[in-house]
Amino acid sequence: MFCHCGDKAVIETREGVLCKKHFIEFFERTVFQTFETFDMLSGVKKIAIAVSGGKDSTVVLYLTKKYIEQKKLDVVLEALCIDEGIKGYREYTIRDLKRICSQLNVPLRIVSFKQEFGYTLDECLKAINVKSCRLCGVFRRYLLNKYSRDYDVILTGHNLDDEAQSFLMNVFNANLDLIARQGPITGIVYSEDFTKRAKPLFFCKEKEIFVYSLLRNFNLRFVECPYSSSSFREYARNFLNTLELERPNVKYNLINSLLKILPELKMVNSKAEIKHCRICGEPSSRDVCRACFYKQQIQKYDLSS
Amino acid sequence: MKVFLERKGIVDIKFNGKTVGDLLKQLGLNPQEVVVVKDGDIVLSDETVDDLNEIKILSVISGG
Repeated sequence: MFCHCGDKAVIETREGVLCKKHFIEFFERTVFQTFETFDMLSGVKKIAIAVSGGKDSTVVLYLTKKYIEQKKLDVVLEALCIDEGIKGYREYTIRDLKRICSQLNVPLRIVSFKQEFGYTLDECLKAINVKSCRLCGVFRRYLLNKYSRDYDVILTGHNLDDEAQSFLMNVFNANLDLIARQGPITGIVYSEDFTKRAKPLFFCKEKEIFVYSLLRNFNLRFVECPYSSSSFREYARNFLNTLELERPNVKYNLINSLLKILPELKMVNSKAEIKHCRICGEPSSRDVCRACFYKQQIQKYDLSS
Repeated sequence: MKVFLERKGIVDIKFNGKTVGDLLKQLGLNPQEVVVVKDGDIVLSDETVDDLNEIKILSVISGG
């Protein structure tokens, strides 16, 4: 297959099959338009990128830096990594992450479960019976929120596939309040306790991001989280990718449906009261936040064993 | 035919088809989830492949 310019194509996109040059243009245009359409960087002075050393956050880091330089924005850009302590996985991605941050000359801050909670994720999962992705998600969100307060916005690497999967999973679980928190700009309630979170790759498919990272020679190694196969997300991913083969654009249609219902859902859920955890003082919808709840459970096990 | 597959390494298969699309079908792989690299270049499903080509099939899906 050939691009409209006559060169050999490297990928099929919603704009047809594209060669390397035209795909890179298409991809960067998509991300830059997302910055602008959703005012992700308007009035912002300090930006954090939530990074892992994987392709998604690396692409966000690279393109945010490129956008800032192109537009000559006077902003501070930093990378923030949460190290869960997953042996055989995170130590490799952090190695790539340090190299990329050094190449791009972006300061990197690493915050770990171990230093914050006293345990790595591997240790936590030996202590309590909870799904790995659930516990990891609670602790990660907690730390990202806590350590992003110095910034005006935190950009994450969530892509179109992630969003379509989350939407489907939330529908399957009847979690309309969680759907209300989705979208290119995360969250429902404005509060100084929360830093604005935005997703520049909201309209980028996982495959497009992968091809872009290959074409840009980021040289990221392939390592898999040992806990990922147990997740409900994998079912949603397989289901959507199988459906996409039969009915191209299903994933785009799904997130476009999400965007249409999102304003009303956010409105309905906007009256949620923000309390503060009586243990750590962090914002929470409960008296004790989930992070402190799990931490207590782990400590109980630790003391009794 | 020797093919590099992520997660599995190099596998030796008896390839019955002609194209990348045939190869993915034979291996039971979804084109949404992989990128095929032939002799160092990313190629699409209509590309012909044979024993003389170096074929790598890379997983698109993040490990996290």
